[in-house]
Amino acid sequence: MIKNNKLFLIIIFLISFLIRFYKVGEYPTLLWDEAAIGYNAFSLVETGKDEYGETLPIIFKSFGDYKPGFYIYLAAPFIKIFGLNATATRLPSVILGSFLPILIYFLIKEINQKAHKTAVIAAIITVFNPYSIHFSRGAWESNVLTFELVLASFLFFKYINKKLNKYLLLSAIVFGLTLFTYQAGKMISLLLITILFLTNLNIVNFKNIKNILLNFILPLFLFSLPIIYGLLFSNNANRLKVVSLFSYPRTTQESEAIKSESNQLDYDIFHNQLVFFGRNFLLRYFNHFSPRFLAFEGDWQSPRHGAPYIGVILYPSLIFLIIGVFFALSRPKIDKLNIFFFLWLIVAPLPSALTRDIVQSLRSMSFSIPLIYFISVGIYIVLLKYKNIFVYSLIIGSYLISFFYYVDLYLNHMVKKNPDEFLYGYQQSMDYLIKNQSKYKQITVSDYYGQAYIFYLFYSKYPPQKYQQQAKLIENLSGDTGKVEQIDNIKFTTPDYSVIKNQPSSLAIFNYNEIYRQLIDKSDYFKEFIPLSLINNISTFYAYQN
Amino acid sequence: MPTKINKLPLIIILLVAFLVRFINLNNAPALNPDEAALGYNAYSLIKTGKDEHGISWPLHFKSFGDFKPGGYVYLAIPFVKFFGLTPLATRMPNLILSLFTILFLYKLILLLSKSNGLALLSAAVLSLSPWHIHFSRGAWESSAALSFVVIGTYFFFKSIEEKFLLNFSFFVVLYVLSLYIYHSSRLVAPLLALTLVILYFKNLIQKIPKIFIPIALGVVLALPVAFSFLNNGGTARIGGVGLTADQGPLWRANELINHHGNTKLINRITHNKRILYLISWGQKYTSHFDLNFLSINGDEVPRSKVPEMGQIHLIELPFLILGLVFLFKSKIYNLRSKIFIIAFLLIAPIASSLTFQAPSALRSLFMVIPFSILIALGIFSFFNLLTKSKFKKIILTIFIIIYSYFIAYYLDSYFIHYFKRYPFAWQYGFDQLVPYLEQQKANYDQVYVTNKYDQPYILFLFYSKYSPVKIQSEIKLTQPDNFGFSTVLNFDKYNFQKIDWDKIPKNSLVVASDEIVPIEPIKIINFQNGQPGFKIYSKL
Repeated sequence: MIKNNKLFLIIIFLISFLIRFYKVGEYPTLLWDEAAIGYNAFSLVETGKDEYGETLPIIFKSFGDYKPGFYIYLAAPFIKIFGLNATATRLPSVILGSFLPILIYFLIKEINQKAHKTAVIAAIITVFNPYSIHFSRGAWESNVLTFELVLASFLFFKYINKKLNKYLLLSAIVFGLTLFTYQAGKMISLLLITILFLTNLNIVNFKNIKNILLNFILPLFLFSLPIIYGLLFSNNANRLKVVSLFSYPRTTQESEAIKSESNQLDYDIFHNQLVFFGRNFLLRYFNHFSPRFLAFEGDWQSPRHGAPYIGVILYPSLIFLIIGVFFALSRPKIDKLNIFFFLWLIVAPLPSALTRDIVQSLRSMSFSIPLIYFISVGIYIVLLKYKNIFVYSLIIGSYLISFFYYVDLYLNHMVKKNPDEFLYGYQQSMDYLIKNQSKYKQITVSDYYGQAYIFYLFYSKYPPQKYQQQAKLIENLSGDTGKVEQIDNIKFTTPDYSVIKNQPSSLAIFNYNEIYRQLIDKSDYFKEFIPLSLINNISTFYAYQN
Repeated sequence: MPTKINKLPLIIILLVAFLVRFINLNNAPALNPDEAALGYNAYSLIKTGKDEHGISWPLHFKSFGDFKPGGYVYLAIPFVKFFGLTPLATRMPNLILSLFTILFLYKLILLLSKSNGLALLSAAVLSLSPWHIHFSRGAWESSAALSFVVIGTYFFFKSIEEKFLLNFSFFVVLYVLSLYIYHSSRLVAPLLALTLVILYFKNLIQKIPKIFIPIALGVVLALPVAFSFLNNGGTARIGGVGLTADQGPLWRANELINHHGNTKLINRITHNKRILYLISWGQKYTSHFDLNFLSINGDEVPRSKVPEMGQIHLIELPFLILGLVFLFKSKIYNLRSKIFIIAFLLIAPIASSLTFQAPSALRSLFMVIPFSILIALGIFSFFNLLTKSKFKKIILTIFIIIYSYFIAYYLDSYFIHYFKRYPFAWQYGFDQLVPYLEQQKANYDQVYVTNKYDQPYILFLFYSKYSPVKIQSEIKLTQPDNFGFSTVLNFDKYNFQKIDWDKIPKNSLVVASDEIVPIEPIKIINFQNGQPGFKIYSKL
């Protein structure tokens, strides 16, 4: 099929990079975590400390959500070279995302040398896969985690084939890094390590046990020490409690209603909390396998996690996925390659299914890898069976149409459909503010979209030394993220027109929702408000000066 | 095939199936308006030879203006004649047909797989299937049509083996009759027949010219229903519940074109409403295979579901997937049977996916057959794999215990919680209300009844056994609503309307649900959950 491997891989990388890099500095709009990652990396580059003045932390306090820091360290060199901007912040994700197709190719080939064609198809599918593209075009830690998981698995299988201990050690190191990359990394890494050993049970024997302990278990243990320490001695676990599915049992009211229909015994047998959690867990777990999630709507709870009206894989992939899974399972003897990816397919949604969200594409992003594999198996089988030009063109044609449909939805509709979700206008507002701030004594900036301060720091490239001295996060008692209310003479809060109109030399930036709530748009002084960020038929932000 | 087969297991399966479907069938659930319409029209035909609207022996019953396929009414005639106009008599045809579905699934699988064990298991799975039990309990046309299709399918395969002319004629007649019973069947049955013809084309071509006799018979039998469908606004009904009745894709098309801020040709092509409807169809079709629909939450319509329950028992899900895998892997079915089972699975939700509301357990009830076949195959193959294992007995015992738990869970949900949780899904209280009002109405000029519950007039006709001759002259349908449904606002002394106390004339009997009325009721009829369903007032 493909003779010239190197050329093929280079082309794959280039196309992949092109798709992920195209306009990545301006689209989509920068989100809170990205701004925080960028600014903290900037702060590290400039001062060796994070925004709170902590020297080279492993975990970054940021908004009080305590971000694992690996991505920030990845971004630092790019910010050093290209300066603090969206492109530099996103580049680590773009680059790793662009390498992913090649890495998947090598992983499949490493597990089974003969699966060359499946590996080639998988690389191509990855390039055009919405799930992979979306999270590669932003500073999503989960995308880095996914890359690491594939890399660590590749190294592990390399060890299986070459029997060289250095590969085992490298695999352990990469798995170790996942712990500092993304919150959900701890669970999925543990699951994946279990799967790797299960599929390679032959290496677990008396002769080899010392090797494994020394080169895999011990380094992993060392890596997890700070995490264990964190879990035991800080309130870091608070967030886990907010997110966990098990923090939300059946309400007393509902339980009482059920009991009133029958009795306590019936409730204990058929409707107890275990049944309730079980059903809720399965509901979430199955949602990840639903056609709605896969092909038609994607992560329907979070518009920021994908383009609207389309799923995480392209339409034709849904058919090939089903063919691929059932073909792989119904072979007379199931080989290691299929078992490995099948187990991965089964465990991948677990980190999402155990949380309160009904469906979540980000937390379970490694799910994209087994999906890609089985889609590729499906295509491979169909091509094997129907070796004619008609089928080839049908497959390629349907993929091209679906891909361009996806691209249109991504580029032309995603932000326009949900400007609020994408914080549209922060950049324009901050640019306006930075240009004009010297003219005013008092400045108020709307915090309607939340964490406005980090966007000010990011876009103004605020000197970190200066910020570290005044950084003050007001913690949120419920365990979610906190907020920063003031930097210099800039207040980040809801501007109140009735107050500001009497304050000379002041500038206020309103979100359009605040304009509506204060009934400003109905008044005759609305014309004094300068629209800053036009989108659809509105402007998300307005400036008012006095 | 062994010549002597022990009949006892099959008899037990049918007996259990009968029991779960028959217990308290007269009252649980309460009669809904569609069932009442079927029953009352059968009653009207018996008494006068005409339906409630005075039309002689129709094939589609005008009913609420929805032109119900008439097959079920004719099936109900002997039962209503014999047992009188009661919910049980109305539901009897479906009860009996559902047992035939199970029996003929057994015979079909025995024929296809030559394995008595697998055939018994398939029948057992179907007999305990929540999906099938639900729609066996009640006058559901969908379940009755399914029965004709399953029996017909059996005769098709039988005809390939022996007595072609007789068996093939049965197949044709039964498939055609299913068209008289339910809308979905009009799409599913022809597609299934087409699949069978294509798969067994080589066998059938040898039967020329003999085969033309049953085919001609089928065409002649199908003609009346086809004409009746076209004459009675059947296409309008499709418009009312069809894919385009869902306005979502239309709005989406406008929204997406607006985002572009221009109407360039390329944008009008990519965001064409036809394309969006096609995608929406794809989502509706595939939603029938959503694991949450199948095993966790089931249908969204309270009348088609029991609380906290999917369409299959959760324990069956792994075996369903295993069954699919083994369908490809094992040799128990031959290739053509395998293709037929897969085709059945893929065809079954088609009619349902073309309506505005999906997934719909009712319209896609046909799926219960391939699912039962696959679940049975999964369980059968799983325990075959364990034959050599010494743990087989233990695993089997654990499996039976878990399975029993899930069956108990379902029965608990159906018989204990269902009617209390969704009091509005089925129309409770009418069986007490109507006899009471019949006693009282002589003392009043008029009776005013709340229209809060769906189509109250038909339940009044049903429970009062109102004279069909009288209603045929009195009946007057309202203008159809958006979905094409009409209703009757008054007959005899009864008026069905929104209860506005001040506007009701003196010397009236008033039946309200939760409307505000300034005086104390003279009688209250409760729902099963203890909440008041009807409050009866006397306005003097």
